[in-house]
Amino acid sequence: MKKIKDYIYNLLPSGLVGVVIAIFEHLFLNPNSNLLNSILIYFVFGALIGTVSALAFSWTIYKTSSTQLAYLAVLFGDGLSVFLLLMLLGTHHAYGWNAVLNIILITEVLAFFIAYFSNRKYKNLNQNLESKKESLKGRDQTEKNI
Amino acid sequence: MKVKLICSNSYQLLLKDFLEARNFEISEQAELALVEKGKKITGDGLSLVFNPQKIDQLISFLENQLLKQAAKEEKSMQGHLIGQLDENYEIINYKEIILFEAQNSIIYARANNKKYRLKDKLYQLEEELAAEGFVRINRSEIVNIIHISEIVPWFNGRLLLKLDSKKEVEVSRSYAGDFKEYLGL
Repeated sequence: MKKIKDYIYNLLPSGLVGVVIAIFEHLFLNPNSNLLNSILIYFVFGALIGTVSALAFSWTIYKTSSTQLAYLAVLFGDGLSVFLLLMLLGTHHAYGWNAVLNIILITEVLAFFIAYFSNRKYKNLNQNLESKKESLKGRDQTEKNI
Repeated sequence: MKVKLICSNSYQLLLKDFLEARNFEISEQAELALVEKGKKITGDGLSLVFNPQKIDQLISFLENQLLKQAAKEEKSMQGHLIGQLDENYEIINYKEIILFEAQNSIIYARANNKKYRLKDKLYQLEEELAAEGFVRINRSEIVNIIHISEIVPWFNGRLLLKLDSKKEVEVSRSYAGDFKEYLGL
């Protein structure tokens, strides 16, 4: 139960980005859009992009420790999951393949940003770990010399 | 330690009491001899000649030496823990400890591919060893920072730690904040 709660907490922030986009679209771009529908769809998209990107990044770094591969995995995972979701929603029937391609490209940009921030977090954590280890080793050496 | 006394009876009683109270053994085969001035030095070992008129000088000298010895012993125990391995007790250096873990309310220290049983509580170790590079990562584990080879941001706000020993442990969501703070983030 706790794990499910954790997953929902994790989905919320990225899903809420979708909600903000839906409201923005309704207020400034297309006042005739069905706000409730847009919120629901954008929430699902946001949650999917956020979750898949974070998961793909962590898993690739864990397996390979390669940042380049992690970026590629995020772009691939995100593109594939959005494509499947669009197929499920029937977007290609309603708006054509061009729309599918455009949506995937836009979500890839978002996924790239997620990968970028995940990578910064990964680098910061490991840099701070190394400096902490160095300071502990340095202190031990000083104590030995005394 | 064994000590030989070469002195008159009155001093012998005094020194015997003093030394035995401090775990010295009075023996004729000792390498170290306390010799009263004027008495004949016997044996090949080290002899310390004292003036019976200034016996307090000898007492304070011995006291100082014993204090130094005690401080040396205490210092040599710093940075170490005593752990139980099967029926034996072993001294474990902090640096060798990879992590502490609680299993069924028993605390174990993993070091040198061995698992030592400890008498301490996890929260005590957490408090006492924070300055030595040990940090709590979840409800049942404390890890030694110097044995972490890589940190991977994990799903759901958790962190995965790859250790030098190839073992992997997770920093739980609730401890991830404190862990990052410990690293200065």
